[in-house]
Amino acid sequence: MADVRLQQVKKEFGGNLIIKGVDLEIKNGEFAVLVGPSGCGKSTLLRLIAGLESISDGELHIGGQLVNDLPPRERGVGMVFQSYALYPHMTVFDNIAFGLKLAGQDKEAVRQRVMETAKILQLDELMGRKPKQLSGGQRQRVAIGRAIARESDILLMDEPLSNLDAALRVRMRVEIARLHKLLGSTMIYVTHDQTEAMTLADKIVVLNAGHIEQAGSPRELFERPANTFVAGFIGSPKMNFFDVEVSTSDEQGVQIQGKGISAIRLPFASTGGTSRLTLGIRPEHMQLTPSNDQHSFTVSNIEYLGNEIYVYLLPPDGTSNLDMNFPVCRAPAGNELAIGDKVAVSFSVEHAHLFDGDGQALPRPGVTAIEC
Amino acid sequence: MGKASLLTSERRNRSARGTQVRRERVRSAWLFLSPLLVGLLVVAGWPLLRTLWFSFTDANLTQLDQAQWIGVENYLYYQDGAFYGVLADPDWWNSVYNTLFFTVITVSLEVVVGVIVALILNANFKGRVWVRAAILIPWAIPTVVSAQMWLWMFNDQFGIINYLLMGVGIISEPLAWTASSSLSMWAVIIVDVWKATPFVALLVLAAMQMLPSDCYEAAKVDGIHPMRVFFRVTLPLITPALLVAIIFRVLDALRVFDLVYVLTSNSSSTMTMSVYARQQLVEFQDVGYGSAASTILFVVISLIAVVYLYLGRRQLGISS
Amino acid sequence: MNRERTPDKAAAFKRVLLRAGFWVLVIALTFYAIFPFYYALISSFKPSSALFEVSALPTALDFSNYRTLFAQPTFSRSIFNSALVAVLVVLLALLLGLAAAYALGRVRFRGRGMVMVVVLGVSMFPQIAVLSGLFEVIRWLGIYNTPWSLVLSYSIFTLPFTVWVMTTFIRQLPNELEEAAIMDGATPWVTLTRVFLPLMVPAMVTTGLLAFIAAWNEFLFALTFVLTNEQRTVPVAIAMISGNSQFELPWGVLMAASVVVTVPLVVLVMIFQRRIVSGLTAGAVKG
Repeated sequence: MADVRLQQVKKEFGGNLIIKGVDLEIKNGEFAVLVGPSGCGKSTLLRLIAGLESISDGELHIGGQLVNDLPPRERGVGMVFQSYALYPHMTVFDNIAFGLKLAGQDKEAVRQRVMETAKILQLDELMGRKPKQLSGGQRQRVAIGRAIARESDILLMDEPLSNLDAALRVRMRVEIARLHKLLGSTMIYVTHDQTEAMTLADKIVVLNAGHIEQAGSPRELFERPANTFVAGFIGSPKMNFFDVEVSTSDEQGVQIQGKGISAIRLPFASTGGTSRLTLGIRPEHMQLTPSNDQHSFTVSNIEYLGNEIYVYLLPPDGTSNLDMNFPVCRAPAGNELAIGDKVAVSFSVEHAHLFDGDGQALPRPGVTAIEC
Repeated sequence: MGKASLLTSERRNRSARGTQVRRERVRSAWLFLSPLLVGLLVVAGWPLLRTLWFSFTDANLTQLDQAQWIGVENYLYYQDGAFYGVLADPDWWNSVYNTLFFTVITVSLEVVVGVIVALILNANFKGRVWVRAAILIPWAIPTVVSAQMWLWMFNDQFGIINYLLMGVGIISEPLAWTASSSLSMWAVIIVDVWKATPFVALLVLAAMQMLPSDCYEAAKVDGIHPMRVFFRVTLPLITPALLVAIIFRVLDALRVFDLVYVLTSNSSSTMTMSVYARQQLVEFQDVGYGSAASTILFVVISLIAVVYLYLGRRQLGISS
Repeated sequence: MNRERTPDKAAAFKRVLLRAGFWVLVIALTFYAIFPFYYALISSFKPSSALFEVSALPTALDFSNYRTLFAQPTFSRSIFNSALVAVLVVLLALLLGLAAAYALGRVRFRGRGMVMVVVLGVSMFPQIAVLSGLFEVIRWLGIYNTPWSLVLSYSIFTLPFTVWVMTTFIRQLPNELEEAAIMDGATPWVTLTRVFLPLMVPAMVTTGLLAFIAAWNEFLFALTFVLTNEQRTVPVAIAMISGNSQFELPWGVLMAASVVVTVPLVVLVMIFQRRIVSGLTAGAVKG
C-alpha cells in the first residue's frame, strides 16, 4: 500500500507561506497531476513529498506512516527531474544502478534489476553510453529508469516532458501512461500543460497561490469546476465569463440577464444571496446566429485553425476592454461569419455555469458528483 | 496575524532545525570543513597570535621560549630624552615610504598597461591565443628567477639595457640600475610591472569578454568615436573587475618581499616593510622587534582590506 | 575599391595605417613579455668568454653552463625538493579544498559567510606576519629544515585560494544533480566522492596547476624554514648562486639555472593556458 495523505501541510520560506495548508489524499496506484500557474507551489509540494524540502507544519503520510522527518531514501519514492539530472560521467547502466548499489544490493542483483528496468524502457541497446551521447527522449527514459529501478511505490515527476519537442512529448505522454498501467505505482506528476494533465490524470489537483482550488477527475473539473479559477484554468481557449444580474430567484431556478445576454432561467438552487453573478460558458458551447438587435455582439476578429475557427466578440456597448478578454467562440470552419457582423449568442442551459460574487460555483439542484 | 502564526511552536522548532536530510547535510558540511579550519588555524591563526604576542616581548630567534613580556617597548618607548622602538626608527619610516611609493606607482602602471593589453587581446586577430600565452610567461616565471634575469639585463657593464640605451644615444655612460640609490627603486618597479601586469590584463580581459556585444553594435551604428565608447561604455562596465584586480595588486605590493630582496638585497633605498621586518626577525634575530614591525604591517593591510570589503559590499552583495 | 572616389581611398589608407599600428602594438607587447626569458635563454648558451660581448641575437650554442650547473649535486637535489614540495602541497590543497568547497558551495548553513570571510582574509595575510609564529610551530613539530615545513607553510596561501576557486566551480554544477543523488540515497560523502568529484576534475586540474606554480615559485618561507643546501628549493638555490666575489657572479650558470626552472612552467602555460586563465579569473570576476 502506498497511498499519500497530506494534512494541513504548510511550507514557509523566510516568513512567507508558500504552501498554505494543503489537504490531499492520493490513493494507491492513482495517477495524480498537480497543475497551476507558475509560482503556485506545485513543484514545492512535490519536493515536500519527495523529502527534498522540509515540511514547516502539518503531516505527510505515505502508506499510512508519518514521514515528515524521513529522508527521501526511506520514503520509498523515486523522482524524475525536469532537467533529467543524469550523472554525466556515468553510463546509462551506472546511472540506473547507482541507487541500487547505494542500497547495498549485491552486484548480480543490481545487474539483473537494471536489465529488467532497461527492458521495460527499451534501453537495452544504450547501456554503455554516456548521457551526452543520448537524444532527449532517450535521456528522458534513462531518468525514468533511474526512478523506477528501486521499485519505489511512488513515482514523482517534475515537468518531465517540458524539455522535449512537441512530437516527442506526445509519444512520451503515451509511454508514461503505459508505464503507469504496467507498474501500477502511485504517480504524482507536476505540469503546467493542461493537455498532459487531462490525458494522464486519474485525479487533477489545481493549485493556486499555495492552496488547492479543486481536486477531482478530469471530467469533474471540466464539467463542474468549483470556482472561476478552475473554470478558467481548465479548457482552451478558456471559459468566457459574463457579468449578469439576477432578476428573480426561487426553488426552481435563477433568472439572469446581462449585456448581450437576454433574460434566461437557469436551474440553479440559490443565488447565494447576491444579485450580481458571473455566468460562465465554454467557447465550444456557444452558438452564434446573425442578429440585428442593438444588444447583440460584434465579431471583432476571426482566427482560422483549419478544422475550426475562433470567433472573438465585442460586447454590445462597444467598449473594447484593453485586457483583451473578449468572449471567444469556437465554430466550425465552414462558418460564413465575417469581421464586423452582428451576432447573438445562445447556449444550452446544461452547459451554463454560475458563480457567486466570490467566484464559487452555485450548486445545481438534484445533481450530485458525476460518476467517473 | 497571518497564517504563519498558526504554526504551533513545537512545529516551528522542528522546521527551524529542518528535516533529517538538512541536518545531515549541515553536519557533514562542518565535518568537511574541519580539516581546512584546523589547517588554517595551524598555519595562520595560531602563528598570527604568536607573532602578536612576540611583539610585546624581548623574544630572540635562538631562544624563543625564554621570551619575557616587555609591553609596548618594541613599538615605542621613551627613555632619557629619546624615543625608541619601531615607530621611532627612521629606517622603518623609510621602508614605509618605500612600500607606499612602490605600491602607488606599480599598481597605477599595472592598471593602465593592463587595460591596454586587455584591449589588444580583446580584439579579434590571428595568433591571439599565442600572444595571450606569451603574456602569461612573465606571470608564471618565479619571482626570484625573473629578478635574476632582469639583474643580468640591468648589469651596469654587460647588461643589454645599458647597451641598447647607449646604442640609441639616450644615455652616454652605463647606469648602475640596481646599485644606484636613485635608480634601484625604479628597477624594482620595472620588473614588478613586467611581472604583474598579465594578471591585471587577464582579469580585465575576462570582464571585457562578458560585456554585451549589442551595446557596441549600437555605438558603432551611431558612429560614436571608439575612445568615447571606451570611456563611456567599456570602462564603467569593467570597473568591478578592475577594482578586484586593484585590491589584489595593492595587497601584494604592500607585502612585497622576494623581488626587492633578490634585486637589491637589504639596500635602504628600496627596503620595504616586509624586508625590514625580516631583517629584524632573521638576520638580527630580534623576534620581538621584528614581530612588532610585522604586526604593524598586518594591521595596515587588514585596515585596507576591511575598508575595501566595506566599500565593495554593495557590489559583492549583488553578485552573490 | 572605388578608385575614382578619393574619400574612400583616404579611409582605406587610414584603415591600413590603423591596422599596421595595431600589429606594431601586438608585436611590441609580445616582445616585452618574452624578451627577458629569451635573453636568459641565449645567454645561457654562451660560453663564459662570449658572455660579455653584449648582443640581442643568439651567437653561440654552448652547453658548458648547463654542465657546470648539473655538476653541482645540490642543484638537481633542489629541483627534486621543489617538485616534491609542490606536488605534496597541491595534493593536500585539493583534498582539503574539495571537501571545503562542497560545504561552502552546496550547503546553506549558519556561519558559512563567516568561514568565507576568514578564508578570504587569510589569503590576504602578509606572509611576514606569521613568520615568527610559524617558525615556532615548525620547530615544535620538529620539521624545521625538512620539506614538510614548506608543505605546511605553503598551505597558508594555497588553501584559501584553492577553496575559493573550487567553491566558485562547484556552485556551477546543477542543483538537480545533487537532488537526484539524494533521491538515490546518497549521503553527502557519497555525493561528493561519486558524483561531484568526477565532475570537478577539470576544475581541480586548473586549481592544482595554479597551486603548483605558486608553490614552485615561493621564496620567503623557503629561505627561512630551510637551512642546508640539501633541503633547499630551486628559487632559494638560484638566489644563493654566487661566484668568488660579488663582482664575479657566474651569469652564464645563473641564466642556465633560470631557464631550467622556467621551462617546465612555460610548457605548462602553453598547454594549459585556457585553464589557467579560467582559474585566475574564476574567483575574481564573479566576485
